[in-house]
Formats: sequence, C-alpha cells, structure tokens
Amino acid sequence: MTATPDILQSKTAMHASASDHRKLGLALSLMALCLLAPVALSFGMRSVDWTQIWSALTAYDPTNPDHVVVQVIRLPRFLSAVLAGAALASAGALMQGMTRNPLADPGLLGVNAGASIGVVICIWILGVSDPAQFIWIALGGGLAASVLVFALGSAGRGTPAQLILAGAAVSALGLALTRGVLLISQQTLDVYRFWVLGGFNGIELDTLAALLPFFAVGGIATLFAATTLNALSLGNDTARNLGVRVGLAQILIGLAVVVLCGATVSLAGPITFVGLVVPHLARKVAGSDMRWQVLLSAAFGAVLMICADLTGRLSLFGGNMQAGVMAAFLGGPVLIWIVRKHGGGTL
Amino acid sequence: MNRVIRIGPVSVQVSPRAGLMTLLIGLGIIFACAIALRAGSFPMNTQDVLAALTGDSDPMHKIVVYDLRLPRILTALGAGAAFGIAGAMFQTMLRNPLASPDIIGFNAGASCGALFAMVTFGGFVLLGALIGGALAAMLVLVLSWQNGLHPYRLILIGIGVSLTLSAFADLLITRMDALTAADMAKWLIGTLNARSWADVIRVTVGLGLLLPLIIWLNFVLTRLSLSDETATGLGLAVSPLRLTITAAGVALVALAISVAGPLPFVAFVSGPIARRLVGHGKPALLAAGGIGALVTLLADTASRLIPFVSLPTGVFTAIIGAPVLMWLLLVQARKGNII
Amino acid sequence: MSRFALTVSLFVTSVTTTWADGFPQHFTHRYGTTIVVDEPQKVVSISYIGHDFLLALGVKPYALRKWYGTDAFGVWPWGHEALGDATPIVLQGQLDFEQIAALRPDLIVGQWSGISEQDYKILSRIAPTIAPQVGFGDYGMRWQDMLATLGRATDTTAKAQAIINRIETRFTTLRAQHPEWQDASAVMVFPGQTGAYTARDIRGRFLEDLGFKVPAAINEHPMADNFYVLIPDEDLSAIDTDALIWLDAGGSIPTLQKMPLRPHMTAFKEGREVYASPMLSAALSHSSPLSLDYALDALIPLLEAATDGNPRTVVPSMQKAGIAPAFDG
Repeated sequence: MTATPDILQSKTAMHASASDHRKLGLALSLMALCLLAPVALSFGMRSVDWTQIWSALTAYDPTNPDHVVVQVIRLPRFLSAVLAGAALASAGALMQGMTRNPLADPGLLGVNAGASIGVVICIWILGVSDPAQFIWIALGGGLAASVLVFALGSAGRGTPAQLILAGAAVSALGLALTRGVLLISQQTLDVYRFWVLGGFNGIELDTLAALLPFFAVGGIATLFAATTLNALSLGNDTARNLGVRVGLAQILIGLAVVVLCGATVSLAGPITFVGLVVPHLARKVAGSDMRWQVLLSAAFGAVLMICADLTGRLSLFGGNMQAGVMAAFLGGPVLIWIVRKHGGGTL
Repeated sequence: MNRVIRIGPVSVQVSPRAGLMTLLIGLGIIFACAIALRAGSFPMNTQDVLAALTGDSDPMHKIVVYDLRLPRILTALGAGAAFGIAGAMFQTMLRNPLASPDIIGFNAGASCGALFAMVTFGGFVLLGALIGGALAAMLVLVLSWQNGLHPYRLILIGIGVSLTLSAFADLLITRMDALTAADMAKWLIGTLNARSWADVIRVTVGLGLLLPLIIWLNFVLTRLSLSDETATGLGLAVSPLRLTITAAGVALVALAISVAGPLPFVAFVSGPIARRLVGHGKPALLAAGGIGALVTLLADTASRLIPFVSLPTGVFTAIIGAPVLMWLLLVQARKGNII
Repeated sequence: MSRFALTVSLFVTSVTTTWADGFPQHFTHRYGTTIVVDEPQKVVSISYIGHDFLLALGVKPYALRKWYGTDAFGVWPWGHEALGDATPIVLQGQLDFEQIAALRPDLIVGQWSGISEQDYKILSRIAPTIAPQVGFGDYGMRWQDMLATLGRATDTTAKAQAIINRIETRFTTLRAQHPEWQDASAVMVFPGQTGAYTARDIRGRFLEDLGFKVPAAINEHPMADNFYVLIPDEDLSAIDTDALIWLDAGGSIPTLQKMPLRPHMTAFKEGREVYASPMLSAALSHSSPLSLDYALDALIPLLEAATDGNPRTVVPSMQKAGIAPAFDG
C-alpha cells in the first residue's frame, strides 16, 4: 500500500520533470528566435542602427536605403531561414521516427539529388535561369527520387543502413547525371553552380509568399502525422492494434516530408544535414514522445538555420558563404559523431 | 572442384572455374577493344583500322588510331583495372560489398583537391586531386577507427565525408569564373577525353609495380575474409596487413584518378561481379581488375558512340553502376544479410 | 668584307623571315613553338572567339567553336557580313578530338580556349596549333596580339595591322573627344550574383581604353584574381561609379528591376547607368575586331547620354529595358 503512492509519486515527478524539460526547450528556442530576429535584421555589410530597423518595420519608407535593406533584403532572408530550418528539421524528425533510423535525412535520402537533376534539366532544356521558377520541377524530381529510395531501402529487412545506402545509390546516380549535363552545357553550369550551394541570398518576399501554401500544407500534414508517430514507433503491428491506419500514416508522413523538403529546395536550393542533426538534439530534450520531438525539431531547426546563415555572413567567410554549405560543414562532423557514438554495429 | 598442381616442392590450388572465367574476361576485353577501336567520331571502317595498326595507311588514320583511340582505350583499361582491384580489396578486407573507395569519399576528395588547387594556385590540378583523394581516404579511415575498423561505421562515415566534400567542391567551383569552371567541371565526374601515351605509361607502370603485391594479397585475402580470429589463427598479422591493403588500395585509386578523374562506381561494381563469376570465397582481385577494365572501356565506348551530346564516361559508369548497387541492395536485403 | 656581308645578309634574312609575310612562320606560345609551313586552307578555330578574328581577316574558318547564343553557326550578328554564305562546322562543349581530326585541318587556332598542355600535344599532332601567349592566362590575351598572330598565320599581316591601327585610332579619337571621361570611374557589372569586372578583364580594359578608370575598390579586392569580384546585395557602393554599365547575358531585366538597393545609388538617381542588351553584352565579352566596332557604335551614344551631367537625359537602352529612373515634372 505504501509502496505504490511512492512509485506513483516518483513517476509523476519524472513525468513532470520531463515535461518541464520540453516546455523549457520550446520556450528557450522561441526566445532564441525572438533574440535572433533583431540580430539577423541588424547583421550585414551595411550597418543600420536600431532606430532605423524599428522604423523600417513599423513605418516603412521605400526611399530610405536602410529601410530597404532591412525589409527587402534581411527580413525575407530571416523568414526563409526560419521556414527552411523548421521544415527540414521536422521532416527529418518525421523520417527518423517513421523509419526508426537515426540517420534519416531528406538530403541523404535522395530528395536533393532528385531536385537537382530536375533543375538541371529545367535549365538545360527549357532554358530557365530564374531560381524562382524551379518550384514544380524541384518538387517533382524530389518526389521521384524519394519514392525510389524508399522502395529500395525498405525491401526485405529494411535496416536503417540499407535506407542510407539506397539514398547514396540514388544520389550518386542523380549526381552523375547532373554533372554529366553540366559538362555539356556551359550555360547550365553557370546557373546551376550557384543554385546548388543552397542559401538565402536574394530571396524575395514574393517567392516566399508563393511557397507559403506549400509550407502550410506540409506543416499541417506534419501535425497530423506526428500524432501517429508514437504508435508507429512501437512497430507496425502494434500500431495497427492501437487503431492507427499504418498505410495511411506512412503516406501522410511521406507527403509531409516531400512537400516540406520540396518547398525548401525550391526556396533555398539543396540543404543537407539539418534534417539529420536537429532531431537528435531535439530527442535529448523531448524524450520519447514523438510529437514533442517533431515540435522541438522545428523550433531548434529554425534557430540552427538562422545561426548557420549568420555565421556564413561573417566577413571571415567573405560575407557570402551560403547556408547550405555551412550546414554541410557543420553537419558532416555531427553525422560522424553520431555514427561513432552509436558504435556502428547496432545501426 | 579445385585442383592441386604440384611443381616440385611447391603445390598450388587452382580453380578451373576461376581460370575459365578469367580467360573469358580477357576475351571480353579483347572484344571490347576491337569495338572501341572501331568507334569514334572519325569515320573509319575495320579495314582502315587494321591498315593503321599494321603500317601502310593514311597518316591521319594513324594519328587517330595511335594518338587518340589507343591511348584512350589503354588508359580506360588501366584505370578501370586499378579501380576494380582497389574496390575488391576494400570490399574483401571489410567483408562488405558496400565499402568501396568511390562510395566512401575518395572520389569526392579527389574532386575537392583538384578544384582547390585550381582556385588557390591556378594549377597543379593533378597533384591536388591525388593529395585530396589520399587525404579524404585517411580522414575516413581515421574517423572510422574505434578499437578497430568496423565496416558499417566506415561506410556511413564515408558517405558523410563524401557529402561534405561534395558540398565543398560545389563551393569551390563557384569561386571560378565561368570559363574556368567549365574547364574544371570534368573533375567532378571524371573523363577519358584527350588521354595520351603519358597516361598509359603512368597507369601501366603503376599497376606493374603493384602487381606482385596484388598477387600476394590475393592469396592472403582469402584467409583474411574469414573472421579476424580465424585469420589470426591461420597465422596472419591482421592489423599490419589491413594497413598494407589500405595503402595499396589508396595508391591504386590515386593512380586511377590521376589518369581518368573520379570515375564513379567502377571500384564498386567490379568486385561483386567478379566474385559472382569466379565463385565465392575468393577475393578474385585480378578478375575484379579485369571486370573494372571491361566496364570502364564499355562505358567510354558508349560515351563516344552517342553522337549528339558528348556525355563524359563518368555518366556511363554511373548508369551501369548505380543500378548494380540498387540490385545488390535488393538481393542482399531479400537474403537478409545486407548489414 | 665577306664576313660582314654574310652577317648582314643573315641578319636581313632572319628579320624578314620573322616580320615579313610569307611562310614558314614561327609562333612561340606557352606550350612551345608552332611552325606554320604554308598558307592554311582549312582553319579550325577552337577558341571561343577565334572565328570573329578570322572573319575579320577575311578568312572563313572551316570549323569554329560556338561559345553561346542563338545563332546557328555561333557567329553573332556583327560577324554575319564577314561570314557571308559560308557554312562552318560548329564545335560545342568539350572538344572531340576525333571530330577535329576528321576535318583534316591545316591550322588549329586556340588562343582563347582553355586547352591544357596535354590537349595541345594531341592537337599539334593533328595540325599546327596556336596556343595562348605566356603570361596572360587562358582567357586574358589582348585582342591586338591575337589578331596579329592570326594575321601572320594566315598571310594577312597587312590587313591585321590595318585593323589594329584603325580600331586603336578609334579608341584614341573617342578618348580625345571625351575629356570628361578621363579618370572618371566606370565599371561593367553583371546582375544576379552581381559581379563587377576588374581592370585586368577585357571588359575593364575596354573602359580604360576609353579613358575611364575602374575603381581601386574593385581592382584591389582580394577576390580579384578571378577577373571579377562579387558585390554584396547590401552594399553597392563599389559599383556606384560615374558610369555604370549593366551587362545582360539573357533575362537580367527582372533581376535589375528587383535589385533592392539599386534605386538608392547615386548612379541611378543621376541617370548614369547604361543597360547593355544581350547582344551588346556579348560584343563586349567577345572583344574581337568585329565586335568592338559594333560595341563602340552601340555603346558610345549610351555612355554620352549617361555621362552628360544632366540626370534628366534618358539613356535609350535603359528606357527600352524599362529600368530608367523616373522623374516627375
């Protein structure tokens, strides 16, 4: 009789502290976003003081160059980074949850390679050179590649590493085809080589607005998908027993991932590793509740992306190191660290 | 199945099947050479080719055959063989068909090195490629080392390094003006365009020097491909041996990249195909070399046969190699023994 | 006396061999020496702009290398008259040596082609090949030097010299006619990734031949090894010059319209920008004897309108592109 209340009490305490962690994590990241926003708006080659930043947002004057810099250059950049970071990180969390694979990352699983080959064909054959017009083909290419990777990676036992390898195979093929075309057409190379770095340079509010519906759809799909993830993480059969329609859930997750990643690739080019790295950080704070993992991933992802963008803009890197490259430089080592930590054999 | 041949005090086990397959691969290569000699934008029929080879012929025909086609064909064979042997070495040593040098970062390292040399020094591209490839190899091996070399870890870290270096290569190519970038783009995918006899000599000498080592390793790897305990039990010093194999493998890949650029997938496909033909349980390094040579030559000939667009050889090795990788994944997955 | 006569005659012979028309001619370049034994009948140009030079000399190339553009033969409109009804074979992309060999050329011209030493060795087995001069990089040779070399190679030295004189005189005359351009700052910029060409680039040289000066901020930028420097979105001050020429390789007008800080540049407000249409931009990028005439014809009036000191003077190309500054009243 006396033991039970203790256990109950300690469990409640544990639950409460875990829940506190998550809420704290969320609160902190939102706070970080609020703090980073003014930093992002004030950071750049041109020094703009705070009064100007404030008035740029509240009383915009198009004839004032400082206002233009803040609202037309820096604000879309900040918003894009937030959206891209949140989108990629939550897509990664969804994928890692669904495949139970700590190494899942949309970029590693072929989405970027598919989008790239689509974009290259777009430039080469259709002669398009404005990145804002790559949307549909990037989405299409990404979708095709992801489907292929999932099919290959889930065959048979479908171990985590198998998915990665399938992704590597499809990515390598896509990369080879892409680079082959670049060797034929100088014009294509000239447009592609800047797009492929992935960054938030020169994004306009209009493009952002055009892609907002995609992010919204992806976000909503993510919300619904996340609720099924807790059940799915127990295994497909268990999930079915719990009343989750597994097939539908997987399609929903797939859809969310592809839409989010496709929209991000259209907006900012291919960015890898964010979807891989951030969910691991989120998992530390969120514990095993998948909904919190996804939510915190989104929050942390946004913060990370902004930091990557700001770091890239340091004059140390010549002031214009694209965020995608930054993410690769940061993410590569983190992937290696994750693999080493997990011992390699148990993946 | 295996016969034992006794010559005096020395006895050697040979497998008729291996011998037959190696012979067939050799014949395949000769056949492919014949096709390759006939293929190309310069219109020549078989008679012209034979005339150019044997002596009496139009001087331009001789130039095409001796200065354009032969060097290209022989370089393709040499580079393909080097890639193939290196791939088989790594795959056998790590007991995993997916642990191939081109998948785990060596090619990406070579691309990076070449571009870095161009951006920083405006030259020394070849040297940059060699150093870049070797450094990437070292990096991957060092990072995967954790009380030993675990294959899965190596593969995954290799993919990670490969991606990061790929991003760096993309960055470097934007730091060049448009025309230089177009010239350097071949270092992203590998090409056999404009090969010379200098390349042929380089790859032949390199392979020749390493051949004794390769033959010895062929015998040794059979025992090493069993578990580490068994190998040690059979009298092999496992770690120094692994180091030797790694060094030889890296040298072979560096050699191949120096003449052909970072051709994707050749190192990867050669080993598994060779093993299927020759029979399991043998590392089949020489057969893998033969398959690599054959694949590269066929890919190069394909790239020369397509008239309108001149896609580089690397695209064709990828078109051959990636499906093989995917097929391998499916087959292994069904068997349940992928990783 | 006899020894003196011998020396003199040897000297005269060597001088006339080098400077006179006629063959054989020797060419020293970065990969060695090429000897052209006789007047070439079939000239193959693997230089991206070599065909312009050959056509200017009245030599129709048997094959040429297309750089970019919509023309079927890769010859831009300024070269159409010189091309006449010739139908050269078009090479594109990576060089296919067998294709070149099949053409059986007498001379291969590659002074602006990016060929490596290995490429050169193979090509020189096919036909005498002229590579770029030492010290100018792959794409840095002066057009005067390229033309003079080709003149010697095709036995049209006099014509080459005449063209060089004429165009140089044209530049000098223009320079004298526009003292206001002396030491004024000017720069050619491509929008998008926004890069400005330095004085080392052919486009920068073009401006300096007219008397302008490319700003030190651009020439001394650490990235200037590349012949151009990237200009950040937020700080266009480096290109806010007395004359600012926007180049367009195709489709850049929307980019120019959307550039956030462009309307805030002094150059914009004072109407000192010049928009170079894709054809004019190509002419400037080619910087060949045929394209220079066209470029000067098209650009000078625009520059005059831009630099006349009156902001209200509309630069016609700007207005046509729809990116001219608007003035009320």
